Amino acid sequence: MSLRRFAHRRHWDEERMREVEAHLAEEIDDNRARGMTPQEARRHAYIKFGNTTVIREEIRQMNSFVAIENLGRDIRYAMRQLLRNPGFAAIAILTLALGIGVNTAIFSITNGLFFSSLHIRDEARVAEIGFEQKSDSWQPNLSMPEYREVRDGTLNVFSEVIGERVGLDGLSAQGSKPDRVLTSYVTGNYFQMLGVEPLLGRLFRPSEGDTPGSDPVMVLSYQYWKQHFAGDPGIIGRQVALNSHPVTVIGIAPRNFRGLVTAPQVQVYLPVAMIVSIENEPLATLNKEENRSTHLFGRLLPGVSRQRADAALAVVARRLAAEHPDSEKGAALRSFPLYAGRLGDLDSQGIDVAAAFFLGLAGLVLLLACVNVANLLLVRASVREREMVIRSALGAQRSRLIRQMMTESILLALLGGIAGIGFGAWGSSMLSSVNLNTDLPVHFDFGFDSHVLVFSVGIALLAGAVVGIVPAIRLSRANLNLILREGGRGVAGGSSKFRDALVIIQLGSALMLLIIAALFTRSLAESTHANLGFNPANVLLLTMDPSEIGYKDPQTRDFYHELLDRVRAPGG
Amino acid sequence: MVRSKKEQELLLGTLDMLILQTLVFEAAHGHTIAHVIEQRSDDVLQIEQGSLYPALHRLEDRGWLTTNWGVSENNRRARFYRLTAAGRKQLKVETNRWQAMVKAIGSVMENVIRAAEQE
Repeated sequence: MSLRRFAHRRHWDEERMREVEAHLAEEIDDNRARGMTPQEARRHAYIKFGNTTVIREEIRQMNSFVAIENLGRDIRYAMRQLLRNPGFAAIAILTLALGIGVNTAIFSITNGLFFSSLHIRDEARVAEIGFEQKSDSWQPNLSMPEYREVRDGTLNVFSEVIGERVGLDGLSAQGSKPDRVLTSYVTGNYFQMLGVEPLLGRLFRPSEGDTPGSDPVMVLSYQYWKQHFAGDPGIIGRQVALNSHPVTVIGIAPRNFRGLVTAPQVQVYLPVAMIVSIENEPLATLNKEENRSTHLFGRLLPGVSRQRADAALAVVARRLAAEHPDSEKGAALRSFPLYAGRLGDLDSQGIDVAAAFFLGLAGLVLLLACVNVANLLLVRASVREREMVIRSALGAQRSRLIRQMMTESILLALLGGIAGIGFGAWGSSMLSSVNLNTDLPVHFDFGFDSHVLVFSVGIALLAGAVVGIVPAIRLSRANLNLILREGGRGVAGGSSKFRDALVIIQLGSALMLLIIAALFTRSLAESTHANLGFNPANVLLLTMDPSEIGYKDPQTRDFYHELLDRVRAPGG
Repeated sequence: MVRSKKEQELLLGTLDMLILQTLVFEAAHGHTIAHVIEQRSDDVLQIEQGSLYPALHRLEDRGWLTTNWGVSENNRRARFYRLTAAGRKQLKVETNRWQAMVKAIGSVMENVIRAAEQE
């Protein structure tokens, strides 16, 4: 086949058809010469020649890029079919959109929580360090003395080790009401080790954070800067108050860096030694071995595996246990892949199971949607049986018919997929802005990245294939004789068993989803009635943290006494 | 009589050769070619006449045949096919291959026939 041929394919088609007509005319002449009636002569000529459409198609295929041409024609035909039955198309697309939308939303959450990039340099080379004592479970929290031991004892496996401790503080700018912020107290090498560059100003120097209370500087997260300082670049160099301590803003973190913990997002970064002044934590407490509240991360040296790092960590753990027999008895250290600690728990299996569970539920919803649409298509298929039979009688190949039906269902699913991505985006933004009723500044941000889009289009294609394959095969097998004898009323008898199976799957999975939903609702309802061990009637809960406005301990005590007195006073 | 799909496929490989052979001495149009093949084989090879045309198209595409419109015995316009030099060469190649095959199959079957005779 050549391009020249392709360009002249219409001309060639006509030429061949003229030739075929001439052939048939000759044959008819011959037959008449043998004494047949005109009708008989014609009939015999056509029988002997075979199906002209098939032959025409065969020649045309030699002259063209059949696959592409056919695809274009199938898509146009499928569009016409959908437009002809707008009601059917709308229901099918909406059903699929719901199924795909739920999957997209759930996937965007799991993706956002567990698998999305943290936007740090060479993420795969960063490991989280876990601590275990007395065969408890692995914890991501260590103390500052342990941090120093780990940092100094693993120079041959980690190029750098960072520590991060999260706290809640009150931030007020220019005497305004303090705003509760999630603060991350980090070692001075934090940003340098992660390879994060400032959006504005500068980030911490390695020396900052060594001397207690000496570096009153702070870095804002991009999101907090946008929300509370309206993205004002003039904030750099200004002083704000954190728990009433003056702190200077020195820089803004880049937009896509949201810290190493994904669920609650860190809003403010400070050097670790500032804990002493800001949170009023005595230096002795900060340097206590048992005060384990710091997350440790290490960057593996080139060519070093996590196994080798674990060996080095084991040596450190043994030394710790030997040097501090009271506080470090039976201590063990190990490295974990970064994503394992994303929800603050190193038990990575839990995350996998949770992700699989929710994706499984979403998958079930999609399955239901698919079964529904497949059923609709099956019903329509029996209506269209006649069309298919006529087309195959006219010489359409079975594979062509199947391909055309599949084009229709995949087009349907892709349209559903587009609507579904819309649904999913709406759903995940709803979930992002959900109010968890907690003090924590939890801001979910389940953005749509390329992973989510690829996933959605992928499941749309899959749904299209699943939905279309059964009706397509059934239709292409439609029995010519049977249908013509039935006078075109269509036969649906053979499909009843399959449709029964579909209905059973549908009922089964719908029931399962209902039960799971009911269990969730019930345990939620139960938790409000749970026996707390006291009578919750007429009890109100009030939380406050006077330290966020800089109250020292004696002041706080006085404040609480006065508060109690006033509340007890009649009519107070 | 060639009816089943399998038999047709078997014939397809040899159809090209049969067409080329038909055109060795003179140019002919499709209808004649079909009848010549049928008659020469004593009506054993009754090809579905339509299948001739894709084959002719293919042979022309490969440069083994040339065509021009002419007038048939019955005074109808018809496309006449003529063998090219390349087509002649191809016919030799295919004939040799065919003969080698027939010989090979023949010698295989000879053993069977002899064995049957001995029983």
